[in-house]
Amino acid sequence: MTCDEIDDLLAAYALDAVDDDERAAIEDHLATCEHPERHEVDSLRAAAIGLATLAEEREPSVALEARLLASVERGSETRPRPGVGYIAGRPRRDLRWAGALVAGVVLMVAGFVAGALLFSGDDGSGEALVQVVQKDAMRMRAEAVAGESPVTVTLAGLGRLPEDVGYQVWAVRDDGWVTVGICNTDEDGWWEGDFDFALRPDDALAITIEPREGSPTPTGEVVLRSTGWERTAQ
Amino acid sequence: MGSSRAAPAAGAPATDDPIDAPTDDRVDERALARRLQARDASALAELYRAHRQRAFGLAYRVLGDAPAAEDAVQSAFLALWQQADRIAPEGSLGALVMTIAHRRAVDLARRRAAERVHTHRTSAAFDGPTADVAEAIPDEEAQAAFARVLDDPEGTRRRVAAALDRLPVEQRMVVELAYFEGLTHRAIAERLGLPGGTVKSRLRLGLGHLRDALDTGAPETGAPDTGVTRDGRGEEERA
Ligand SMILES: [Zn+2]
Repeated sequence: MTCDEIDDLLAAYALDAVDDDERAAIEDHLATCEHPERHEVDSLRAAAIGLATLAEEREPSVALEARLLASVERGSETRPRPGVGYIAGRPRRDLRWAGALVAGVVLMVAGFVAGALLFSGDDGSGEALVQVVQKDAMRMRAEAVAGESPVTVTLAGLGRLPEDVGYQVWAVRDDGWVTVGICNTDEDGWWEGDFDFALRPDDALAITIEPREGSPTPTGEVVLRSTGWERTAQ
Repeated sequence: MGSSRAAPAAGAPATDDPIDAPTDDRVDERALARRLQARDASALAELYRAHRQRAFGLAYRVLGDAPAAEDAVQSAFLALWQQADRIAPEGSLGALVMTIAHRRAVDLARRRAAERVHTHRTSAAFDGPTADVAEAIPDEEAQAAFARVLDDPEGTRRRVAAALDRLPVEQRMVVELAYFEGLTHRAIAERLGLPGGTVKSRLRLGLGHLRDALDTGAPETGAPDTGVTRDGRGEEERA
């Protein structure tokens, strides 16, 4: 876009009334071009915040704070404890409930999913990789050193499955999906542990629901899927 | 930090302090920002408690239902947490929360609208704070520019409401459709059956008037003529 076209869109941009492509073009342009009206946008965004005061304040549910803090504490603060690859299912009486959760998970999945987020390290092997994928209340965090076992995985918000199935974690590669491991969450929808698997820097991750012994290729619905690792200098 | 902000925003309480002396609130905010940057989760809880009602109110206004609005709010706070190192020292956490929450709410509203078109699913699919989180946080200069808009929220609210009332109705309508309905300028043009240029021009004039009413720091960089200090009407019809 030209400087004039950018200027034409600044108010729409300040109001979040541009589409994703326009937003990206505007941000790129403002970051690199010294054109005279580029500072205009800040004051327009300030005016947009003024509009926000017109919305009536409302109290969100109490659960929201708990959800927010749980996702923070579990996802990025707690250092996962090493665990085993599979946690046995619970007594029969819970199965109906677990099944209902599975149905819920699958329903939410359709539109799926998520992107890789955090990353660190320099390049080359031995690179530290961290990946967080979230969809609704479901969250997976994976941490590994490139090319080295293990992969430390934390799952939160994934309903515990019946005994005969599990969450199978996959490394998504150009030439196919490779099994990382399989596990099941506890009654809080939570699992953390290590899988004996060496991730590559260009692996994406995915989770499907599979028979407990695992499948050679994915057969179940994709519950979560990342778009791949990203890295930045720290 | 490269910010040329000098004039106090309208609505900042009149005091004898030099303009740049931080208020107590601002000092507290800086401490809070530092704790967020140090990954102190209790700081996030404090931030949430301070701004949840305003953020949720805004998201609710855009989305019209509580579960989706809660998703947007959660995502906004999570984005701030994950990108805490981008919080500018001279910014305002409240303004930042509102900016991000609005953006998340609008994104969610659009995704939901797109889904209604393509499927029968009614649940709001929400991808969480994902790939575009980074851009969700405005740069330092922007944060400094809107640092004081919420210093006196009641005053700001009165001024914005009055300014909105004074806008020509056609400008007011497009500004409200954009900000509170989450429509893009293109969607507004479609809905109102107007040429695209007209909508962009009305948004510019309308928001420009609000900006002037708030005096949110028109930059001293040669004050570009945006046409907003003139009467906008005749001009926009040519667009
Ligand atoms: Zn330019």
